[in-house]
Amino acid sequence: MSDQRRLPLTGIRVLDFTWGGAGPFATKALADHGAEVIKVETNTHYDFPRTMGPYAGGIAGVNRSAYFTNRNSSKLSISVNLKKPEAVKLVKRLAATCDLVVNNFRAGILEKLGLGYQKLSAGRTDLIYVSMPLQGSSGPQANFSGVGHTLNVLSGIYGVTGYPDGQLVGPGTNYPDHSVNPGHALVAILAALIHRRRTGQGQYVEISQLESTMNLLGPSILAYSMDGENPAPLGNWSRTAAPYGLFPCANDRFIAISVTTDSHWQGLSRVAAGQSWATDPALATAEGRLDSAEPLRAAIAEWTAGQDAQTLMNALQEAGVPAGVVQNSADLVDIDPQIRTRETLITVDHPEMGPVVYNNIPFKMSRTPGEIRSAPLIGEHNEKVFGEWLGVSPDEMRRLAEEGVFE
Amino acid sequence: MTPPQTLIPGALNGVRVIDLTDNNGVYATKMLVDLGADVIRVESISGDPMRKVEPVVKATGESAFYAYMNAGKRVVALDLESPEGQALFASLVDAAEIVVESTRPGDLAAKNLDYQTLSADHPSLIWTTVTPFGSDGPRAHWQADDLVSQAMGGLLTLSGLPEREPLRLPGEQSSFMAGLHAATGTLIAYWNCMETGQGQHVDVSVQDCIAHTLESAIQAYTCNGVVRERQARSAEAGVGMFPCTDGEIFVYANIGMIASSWDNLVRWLREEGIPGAEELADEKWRDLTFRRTDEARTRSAEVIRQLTKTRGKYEIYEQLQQRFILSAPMSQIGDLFNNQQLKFLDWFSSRPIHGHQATWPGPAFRMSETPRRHPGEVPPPGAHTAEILEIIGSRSEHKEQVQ
Repeated sequence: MSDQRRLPLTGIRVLDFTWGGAGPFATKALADHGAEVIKVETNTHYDFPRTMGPYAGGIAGVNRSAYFTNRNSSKLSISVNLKKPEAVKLVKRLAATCDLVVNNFRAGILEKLGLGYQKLSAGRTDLIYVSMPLQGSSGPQANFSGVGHTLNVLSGIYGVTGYPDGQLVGPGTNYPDHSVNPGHALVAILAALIHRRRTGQGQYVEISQLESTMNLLGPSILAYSMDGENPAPLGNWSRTAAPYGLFPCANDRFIAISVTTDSHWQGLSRVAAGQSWATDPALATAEGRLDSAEPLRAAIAEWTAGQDAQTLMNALQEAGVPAGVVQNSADLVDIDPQIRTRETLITVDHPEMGPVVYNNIPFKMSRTPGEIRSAPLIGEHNEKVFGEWLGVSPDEMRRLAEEGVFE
Repeated sequence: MTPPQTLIPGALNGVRVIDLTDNNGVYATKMLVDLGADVIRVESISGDPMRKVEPVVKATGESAFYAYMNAGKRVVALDLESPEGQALFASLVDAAEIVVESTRPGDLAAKNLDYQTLSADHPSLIWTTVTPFGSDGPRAHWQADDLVSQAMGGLLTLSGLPEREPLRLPGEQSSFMAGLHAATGTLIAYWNCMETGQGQHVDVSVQDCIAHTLESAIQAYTCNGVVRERQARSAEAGVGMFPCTDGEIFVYANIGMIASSWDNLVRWLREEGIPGAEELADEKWRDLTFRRTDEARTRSAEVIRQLTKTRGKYEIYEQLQQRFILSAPMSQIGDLFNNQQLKFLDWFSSRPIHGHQATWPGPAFRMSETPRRHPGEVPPPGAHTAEILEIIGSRSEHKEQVQ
């Protein structure tokens, strides 16, 4: 397909220094849509998703991590040891051919190598240079390090994620790494490309992951500034509607049920025909249901407890009630017909791993859809990038390799 | 098309966007308004249900969610059930580059107001749809709000304690996950349109976006058959919340991700002569299976607590960071206003909402040449209906003259 079809970001070249979770997930979307994204790696210090699995077939290896492949689809990989001056020189030559340079190092690291914005933008006005530092490039905490889990705590998300009795738990994942920080980076990058297309002008773009993540709490921050109260954790419940929340089903499964209108309630009542609460006139109004929220929750939980979660969900949805099984990865991969029909997950062959499941692009473009291609082996494209693109001769490539430039 | 003078330059200066979104799509148009687009939000003549979405400010009874998502947009009230309202909507779309909507699949087609119909004479139109399950497929007509979406997308099962029920992330997080993917697709389509002059439909499923936000849960299953579920609090030695004199500090000294944090922590504990620190230097603490036992978690927590409990949370945060130990001070919303780094970055800004003092979150990203537009007015219901009908009117007059 990719040979015949023009992907929408064809012609954009990206020098990608991002590593770990959040940064690579942004640049992979550029690659999936046709940009030439050159991931700068080194064998002296692997990008940590390469070494933490899950590994294909459970066998560890630097080219076998599906965590890595999912976040680096469609990219090219070069391996260079930037401690060697000749490697830095090559990367600088490469940078001069790129439209975008993206990194998520701590502030100052690329500057020390002469690969900072000031140096790379000298003599050209069209460079878009993107940094994704944890907490900004200057200030008292600019050099502090962190990962998604610490960002959950620092940004305040942990402090509002808990059960209604006050027990705080926080998100169970490095939440901001997966859609939010990559998403804000992509929006900024695309806006910068659009501005450059209009004016010829590049720019410096900074996504401080703290600033980005805190926007997830934007409405609560605004409300706090007006009321001065920290929001109490709400768990899965609602302050404004009932019945609402998670209900237990057979086999230790849960179903989410959200009744926010009378029509939802009528649908639920039809499915629960025969239950005394289903025909209780006191529950016919939103106010009545909210007044009885706790006994109603208990009664519905008793009704759902023995039921098969998927069957109950189907019945409720067909009756017009928003309801959904608390699905796990096996449900998504094996059972969910919507996921299958929309090809939310797709399999792409990898030279070492064999068939690998990727998350597909979560938006479908009718005219210029992107395409998930295999993530690279480490250093897979040294020859293409340095030999073909920069014209380094085979003899010179051999000499550089012997001297450890491509480590 | 000339934008209103109230707009300051932004990357999307002069781009007109019609916003017919609910919670599922509204963060996409919030991104576009931040970038300088002229976003016109179409609301029902019976009111915009988003004006009731929590959190609602106690002092004013107004939705902070609505304010945050819609500040700086213009709003027009249209009756999409009437032929007049439908004609006005079609004219509005004709005057725009981008539509973002989250109506139920089929609803707009039944009124001849869908992408197929309205792009016929407007080939450069970009039309983004954001719905719980996407526009096609066997469950396209199913309904979901944030709770149901987090359940169906596979995120809910990953949070909470094993002995309790799974736990939703609060604050309409589906809006953010879906809105960002929708904005990305929309901007790629806009880029393509600048190159080729051709628009297109961008279809976004909230469920797909959430399934894209599961860390490596999908791959853990497809590679190794492991179904990831919610994990115990402080699942590993060296990870967890520890008491300080004025709150708590989160320490993330695991060995799976960045092992140096654990080594650095043990070194510091020993330097400080904390009782039990020598034990933690034993080789068995490098074994993940042991680290996950109750014994290891309890014992290490006892030792680490001796270090943290005599210090303030910001003090020890700095000390941990100087030693390259992953960590963060426990922060409630109110604490964020005292975060020294955010103060340095001048992140918060003040702008009253309808006469009431309010402090606004700062930018999600910073662009040197096209800075984010500061939060604008929070539009009252139907506030800009007259001026927007005027745009439509003058355009159709102009068209008639041309014809």
